[in-house]
Amino acid sequence: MLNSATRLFWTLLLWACLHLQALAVQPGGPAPGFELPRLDNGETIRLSDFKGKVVYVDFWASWCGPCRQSLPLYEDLQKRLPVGQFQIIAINLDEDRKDAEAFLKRHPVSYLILSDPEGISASAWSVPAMPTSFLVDSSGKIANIYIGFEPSHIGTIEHDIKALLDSTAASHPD
Amino acid sequence: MTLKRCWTVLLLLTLIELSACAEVQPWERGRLAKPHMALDADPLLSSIDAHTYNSKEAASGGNGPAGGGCGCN
Amino acid sequence: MKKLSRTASSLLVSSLSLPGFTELLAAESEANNFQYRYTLYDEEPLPQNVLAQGDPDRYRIKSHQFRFEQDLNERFTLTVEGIHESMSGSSPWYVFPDPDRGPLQVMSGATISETRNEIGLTLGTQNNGVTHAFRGGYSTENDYDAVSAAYTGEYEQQNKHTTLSWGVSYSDDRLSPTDAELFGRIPHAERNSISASFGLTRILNRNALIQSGVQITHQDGFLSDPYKEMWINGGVFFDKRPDQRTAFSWTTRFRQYFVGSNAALHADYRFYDDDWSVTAHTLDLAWHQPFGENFELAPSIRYHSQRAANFYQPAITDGQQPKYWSSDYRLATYGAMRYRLSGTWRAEIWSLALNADIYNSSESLALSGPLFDTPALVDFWRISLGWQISWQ
Repeated sequence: MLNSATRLFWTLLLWACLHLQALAVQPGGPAPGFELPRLDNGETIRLSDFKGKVVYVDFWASWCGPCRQSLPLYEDLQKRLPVGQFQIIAINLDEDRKDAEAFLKRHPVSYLILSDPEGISASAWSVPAMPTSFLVDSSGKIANIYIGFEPSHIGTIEHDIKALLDSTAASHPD
Repeated sequence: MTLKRCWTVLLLLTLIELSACAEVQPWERGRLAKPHMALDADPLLSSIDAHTYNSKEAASGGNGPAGGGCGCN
Repeated sequence: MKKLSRTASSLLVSSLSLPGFTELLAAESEANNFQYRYTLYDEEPLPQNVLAQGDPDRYRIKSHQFRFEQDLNERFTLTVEGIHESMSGSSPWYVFPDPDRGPLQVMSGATISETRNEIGLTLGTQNNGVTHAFRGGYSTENDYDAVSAAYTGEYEQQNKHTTLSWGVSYSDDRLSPTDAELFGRIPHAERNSISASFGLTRILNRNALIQSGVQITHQDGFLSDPYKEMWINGGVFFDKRPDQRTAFSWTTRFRQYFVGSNAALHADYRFYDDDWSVTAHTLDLAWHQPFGENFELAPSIRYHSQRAANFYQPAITDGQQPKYWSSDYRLATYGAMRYRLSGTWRAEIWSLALNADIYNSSESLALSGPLFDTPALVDFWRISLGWQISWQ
């Protein structure tokens, strides 16, 4: 019925569809970086601006249930930890910025929110699910990846952040 | 009758499974998450609909009953 | 935690609902919530020109539904739901084959108001990426009691944008028809039913998804209607249906988003077939149009067509002596159109929905099947108001 070339084409296409996987970004490897505008004032922010600090990069959107749960808990976390050494950066992936703005109006947070409506940074960081967050150490390497969110994860996240802060302090005693 | 039907449907389900391999990234699911794109946005309405139609028509299923209390005359 | 999807848990609401199909939503976890809905259902009276005898004012039903869903901890969710209904009105008894005026419907005298109560409890849990739900239900009214149990499961394959779902359920029903001695009805009867389902949900692209699944049900026991009768060759006899019924249904649901208008098209089709020779097609089309941030208007139409059960006839006058018989209009060949308009207001933690329906049925709307004069085919209207509140 189908000639060999056509059969091969469809088989390869089928195989590609079933097995196509983005290359994963791994803990221990370098963080891919980003260059994105702030949601509030459009100022361009780069990951490299925060070299020397521990950074928690969170990919979220207003339509994602666990994301909504995480925001107030991250706000508490940012407030509890020293801002000079630790920064939460939340990259919003709402296709329409207005959805994010409306959501933040009702649930304001004080940490940094960047806007990436086209998902360019999400692709670069191979975000596997919504939400996903990456703990980046002061030298720009990925220390941990947290896929999904549950309120009970905050304990583990805080513990991991403190461990990085302590090791940074240990290597920079002044 | 029923067994043959099942196989036909399973084949169709397999085709659906293999179809439309447009890769949708996790952050691209915002439109599908909108309330009016839900498969069942209002469970109580669906339930009373099922109850009404199962009582007044000969067909059932798709939401499906397992018998059930019905004072439906 | 990711709760059991809305569809799976919602489909288990009444003992008339079954483990069916589940919903695939991107990383969506449902908030805890409480819902309430009031529905008023009212049938058009039987037209005078086809009334043989009895009360033409048909059924009116008022229903109160509620549903409460709460995460107990990260792994378990509890859902409690219930319905309280009150019903009144007369129902069709049998068709009298008037030699001059054609088939006329004999109606019962108006029933005293009856109530039905149903409660269901579901425990949902998640283990290794598979969500399970176990439900027990109990329904009771003055002439009918039913106990049911169901299990549904769901597995989401994240990378392949596919969710598999499956379920089984069982129901045990006991009938105690009212005024049994007075009318010579069967005083007690039992029936049970078992059902299995399997389905698949798939994201097609950023704007569309599709769900398709099958369900098989087997019923056993007293399946006749103890209140209905049939005119057979000059005498009136109680409805007599086979004591088994096996049914198959296949339902496909499609959702398409339109970026320009921010609207969604819903298209649902169900094919039904059973061993009583009933075959049915049902198509439901809806357009959901948001206006601004908080309001949505959704007109929809539902077309249903069925062919008659092989033992259905309005009346027998030709000396036949069938093994089974029923004059119940619900087993006849006919088609029906349901027109609906829904308005929904949504805020972050609450929503309000108003729905109005008109339903018309007629022999002429049927796609195919043996046609009879079915005077009792019913028209009804329905209005319903639902309210929901949610919390973290």
